Amino acid sequence: MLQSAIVFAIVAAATAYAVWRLFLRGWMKRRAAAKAAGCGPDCGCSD
Amino acid sequence: MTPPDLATAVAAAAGGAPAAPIRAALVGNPNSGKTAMFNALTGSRQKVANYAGVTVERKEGHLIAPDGRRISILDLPGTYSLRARSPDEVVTRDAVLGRLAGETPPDVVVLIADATNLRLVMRLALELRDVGRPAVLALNMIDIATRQGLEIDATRLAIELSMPVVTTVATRKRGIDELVIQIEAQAANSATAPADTWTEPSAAALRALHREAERILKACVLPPRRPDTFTGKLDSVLLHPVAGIGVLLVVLFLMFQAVFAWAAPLMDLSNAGFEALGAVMGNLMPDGLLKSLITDGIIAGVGSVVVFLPQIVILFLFIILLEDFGYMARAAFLLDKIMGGAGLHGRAFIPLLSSFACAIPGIMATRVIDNKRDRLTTILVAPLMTCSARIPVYTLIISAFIPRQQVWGVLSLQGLIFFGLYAAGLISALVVAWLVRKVFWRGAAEPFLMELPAYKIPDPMNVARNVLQRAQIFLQRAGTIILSMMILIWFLCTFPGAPAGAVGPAIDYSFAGMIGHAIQPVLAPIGFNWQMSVALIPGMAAREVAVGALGTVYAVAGADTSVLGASLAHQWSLASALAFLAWYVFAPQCASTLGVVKRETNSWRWPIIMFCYMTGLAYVASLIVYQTAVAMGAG
Repeated sequence: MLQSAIVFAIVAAATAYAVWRLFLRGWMKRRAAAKAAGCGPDCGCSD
Repeated sequence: MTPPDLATAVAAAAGGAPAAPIRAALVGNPNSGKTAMFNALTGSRQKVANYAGVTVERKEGHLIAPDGRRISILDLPGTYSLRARSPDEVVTRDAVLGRLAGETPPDVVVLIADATNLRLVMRLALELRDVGRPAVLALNMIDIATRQGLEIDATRLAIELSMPVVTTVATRKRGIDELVIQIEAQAANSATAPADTWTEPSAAALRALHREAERILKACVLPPRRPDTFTGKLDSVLLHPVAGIGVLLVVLFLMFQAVFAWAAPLMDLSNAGFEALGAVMGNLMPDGLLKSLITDGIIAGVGSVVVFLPQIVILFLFIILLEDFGYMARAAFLLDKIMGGAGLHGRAFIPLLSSFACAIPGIMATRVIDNKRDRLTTILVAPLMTCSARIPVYTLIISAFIPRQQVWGVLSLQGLIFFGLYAAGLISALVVAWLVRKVFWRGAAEPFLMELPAYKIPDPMNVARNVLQRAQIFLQRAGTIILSMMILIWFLCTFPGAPAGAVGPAIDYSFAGMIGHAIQPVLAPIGFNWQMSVALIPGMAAREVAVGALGTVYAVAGADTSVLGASLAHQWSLASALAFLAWYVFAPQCASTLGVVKRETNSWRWPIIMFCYMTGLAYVASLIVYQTAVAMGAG
């Protein structure tokens, strides 16, 4: 029982990390950069 | 004591509060040593190479001056003039003039000049003098200039340019203390600097600027009494249309042979290490889910990727040595005619070269290309260059299916195939670029001028730092994204368990089995079994994850994966293995690359086009390879 709980906790953490790393991290970085530059993410200034 | 250490010590001894921070911007021609100077000043470890265009975006670092004042240093892309043409040059111009949104102009502009070729920097120096912001001129690489016999009158130069001049050797951290003192002294004039009134110069103003540059050079620089003949002699061979191409082919060939020949003992050693680790963990832990996760998921999966570290280190050792020596820019010169024939701009060499490490910096490096169509063409073909993430896939399949035999008594067949895969990526990039130019964007190619850097003995510290950085990036990926994907793959391969009374292997009833069996009919014509099909999905996170995924899939299925290649050699046909290689030459197996294309083009259109054409190309190439191999009896 304890072993299953540890395994599922590890799998859940790995899933959360993969989702953050693949989908959220880049978006958060771009958003922070856009905010620092004083404009919104869709203003087109990143070009 | 390095400048930051010295500064901290002095500031601590003084005990007083530091004055307002100073903002200094490093500007100069491409390949004049700006990033080396940035590293020397701030203690950073940004990539430095002996060719133009390595820096494409601004980077910021800081140091503490001897009086305790904080100096923030901005490293900017190289430019020959404030009259910017490409996106990276626009960044530099706007940063210097304080035109970037939300940023004030720098207090001091530090102009880094290659002392061996002052002619190139004079126009920018005169433009900066006319802008009137406080500036310092650093005559970098002064050791090489002195060795060449050049005599520079720094005092006269300082008077002519209205800015202090210091001599430096950034890679050896010489002259840095004096430069920091001058930055501080010039920063005192920042408040009284004139406002930005710079405008694009007229043709007459440009001609006047060039005449002024000529006059100053004549007054301040005495050419060497004995001109340098070494560079000329070496270039007459290395840039020869026939001998040069011959040398290039030999160099590349030796590089790929070495990757296999030298890495084999190290790879066997790390394979044995992971095998022993798996055995120890297997013996220590009781049977159950946790043991399966550790041995089949993490050790078999991550281990099967990490064993390829020696190949990556050896390949990058060669590439970095060639870059630092100054050979890569010569290789670009040799290939320029071929690239131009395919419709690629000469400046595409830099992004394409960067893409051999990873397509992401390669795509970002396309900012050095001013023409939008040329830039888009380069972005579209950059992922076809063989990035380091493909090395584990190529090496695994080649080691497993291609015999270790010699061709003509001297050449390794495995190295030959490896070389062929790199060549396939390069040739397909040229063909795609040619098609894009012919079909979508007809028009004459733009002229391209390239400055050939001086030959240099590679700096062992820079080489070691860059190779370690590549190894670190690889291991970091193995410990983060690859590890997380392996855990997920193990989960998908293990759950749900086989139902009561099931006859087949348990993995056939798992989520991974279900997904693999669902996709496999589409990939059956190209010879992929369901295990190969399922490995492609996590392979979208990073190409080398597919290797780890295969390790986990076969480990959970009960196969002996201590040596994954040997296991695959029993499970796959030669035709399927070759088709898998062909798939990996072309397939867009990297979500991050597609993401960066979206960011750089500011549109979803181009990543979608890239994904579709590369997937189509991969499928057709694998189909041809598989069906041909089967027809020849390799099925």
